[in-house]
Amino acid sequence: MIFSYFSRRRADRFAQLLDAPDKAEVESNASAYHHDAHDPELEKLLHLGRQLRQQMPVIGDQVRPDPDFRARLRQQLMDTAAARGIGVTATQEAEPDDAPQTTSVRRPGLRLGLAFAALAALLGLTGVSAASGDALPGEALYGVKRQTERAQLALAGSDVNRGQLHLEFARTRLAEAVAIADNPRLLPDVLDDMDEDSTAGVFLLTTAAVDRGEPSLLDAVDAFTSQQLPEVADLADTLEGEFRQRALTSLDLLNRIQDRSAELRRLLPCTSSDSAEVDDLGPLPQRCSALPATDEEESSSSENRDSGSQRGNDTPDTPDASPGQEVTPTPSDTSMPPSDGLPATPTPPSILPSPSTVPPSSDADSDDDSGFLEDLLRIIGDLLGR
Amino acid sequence: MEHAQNGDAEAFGALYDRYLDTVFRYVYFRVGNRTLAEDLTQEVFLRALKRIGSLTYQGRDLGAWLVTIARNLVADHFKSGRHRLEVATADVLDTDREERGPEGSPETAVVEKITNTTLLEAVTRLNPEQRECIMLRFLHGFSVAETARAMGKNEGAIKALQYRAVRALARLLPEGFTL
Repeated sequence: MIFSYFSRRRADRFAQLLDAPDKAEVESNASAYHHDAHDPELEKLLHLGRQLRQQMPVIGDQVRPDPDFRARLRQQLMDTAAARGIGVTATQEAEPDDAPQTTSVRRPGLRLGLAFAALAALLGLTGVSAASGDALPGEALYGVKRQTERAQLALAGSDVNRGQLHLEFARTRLAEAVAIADNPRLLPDVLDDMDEDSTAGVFLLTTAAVDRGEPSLLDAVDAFTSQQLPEVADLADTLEGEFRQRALTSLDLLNRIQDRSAELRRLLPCTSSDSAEVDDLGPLPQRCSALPATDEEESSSSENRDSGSQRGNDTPDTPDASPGQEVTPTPSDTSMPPSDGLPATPTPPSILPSPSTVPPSSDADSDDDSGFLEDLLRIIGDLLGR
Repeated sequence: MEHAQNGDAEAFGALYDRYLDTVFRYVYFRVGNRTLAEDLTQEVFLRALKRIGSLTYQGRDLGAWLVTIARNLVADHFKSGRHRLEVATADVLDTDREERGPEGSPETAVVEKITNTTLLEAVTRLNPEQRECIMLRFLHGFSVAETARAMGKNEGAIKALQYRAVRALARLLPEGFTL
């Protein structure tokens, strides 16, 4: 790495010309070096240097600390200064320099730390994913928005949370559909995704409601349908032809969900996750007479099987479900086997429309680490387009 | 600055407000990971808070002083091996680099999120010293003197480095490349 005298002189001159305040001075400086004023290579490099000076700050400006981080660190520094003093007033025991004695933010363990780091980046600490929140289908950041949703799903702590997230995403899809209704080219795709999220969310919530015997879990489903139904109906009204037909299909699904939820709520005490048939919306309500203890077991469970097979049907599955007719726990309720209340093995999500978006339940809190991490890395990999 | 040395927390806060972007950006372009950059930036300022008393006043070199601290912390970080995972995910454009020292090239991780990719890509293909010089001089807008201070070299060496770096960059950029 010998830098000859000649080269050093060129480097010095390059630095001087580059840092000359304006073009006029550059010119006069250049002419001062009249002995080699015409130096095409130097001119070329100077041109590149000036371009760098213009363009590199543009790149730099795209990287800014997150405002939250800015505020948090400032507060921490002020607190530290107040507690220990700064500069000359700092207490000497403040040194052993490298031990981060002030509450450093993280590193519970490298892998998890990194996972959360990557996750934080995904879930809104970056400008990109924050900005993607309003992205519409067809826009550049829409992919980021959807990937962020996938990450949220992967992180959901329970099937109930996951189900609620799916419903929330279905609402988001509807808002997107409404926003692009003027130019509905992508509308069918968005509504497909909306229906997929609606179905997946309802499946998880109804399954959990039956498993746990908790009718309150159906509240989220009912709130969802009562909000979505009128909006989807309005959307359909603004559309024509095939797009209108597509919106009406979504409306049908919501009607089915509404009916299913009402029916399941009514028959929840009699519906057992052990024996209930399952369709795309989760366990089918069982008539109270269908409990194993009764003689009618065979016939009624096969009846349920029948109604389960006609999925496209908009009407409630069970014939005696007409409103007003109370099937509240009658004597058959008391005949429920005592084991019924216990959580049974979860219904296998075999009919879940898109299993890939719903990672296997991560309720078990051990052993999940690596799978969780892999999920994340995969998602991040996708996000970065690798 | 003198206020900060006398223990004036608000003055230190003003320094923070002024230089946070520079420090964060420097670290971020070195490690290519936002959260890690936040961790290291936090350590930079905590360290600065402790050390500012021992700093002799050098005017606007303060940014260079902070970058020096950041530079050492980033080097420690790479030595510690904590970075293995990130480098693995950032290992895209890395195949034919000449030098792959501990200061590797994790900058590549940010390339895809950034416009002017052609330019930044070419910069990441420089050797680590040249790359750092270009980043400090042009992205951070440091003077030759500040760059020298931050990199622990004399000004003549920085001028030579800068010249070689721009020359190398001219060769790395595609034919007919204009910004």
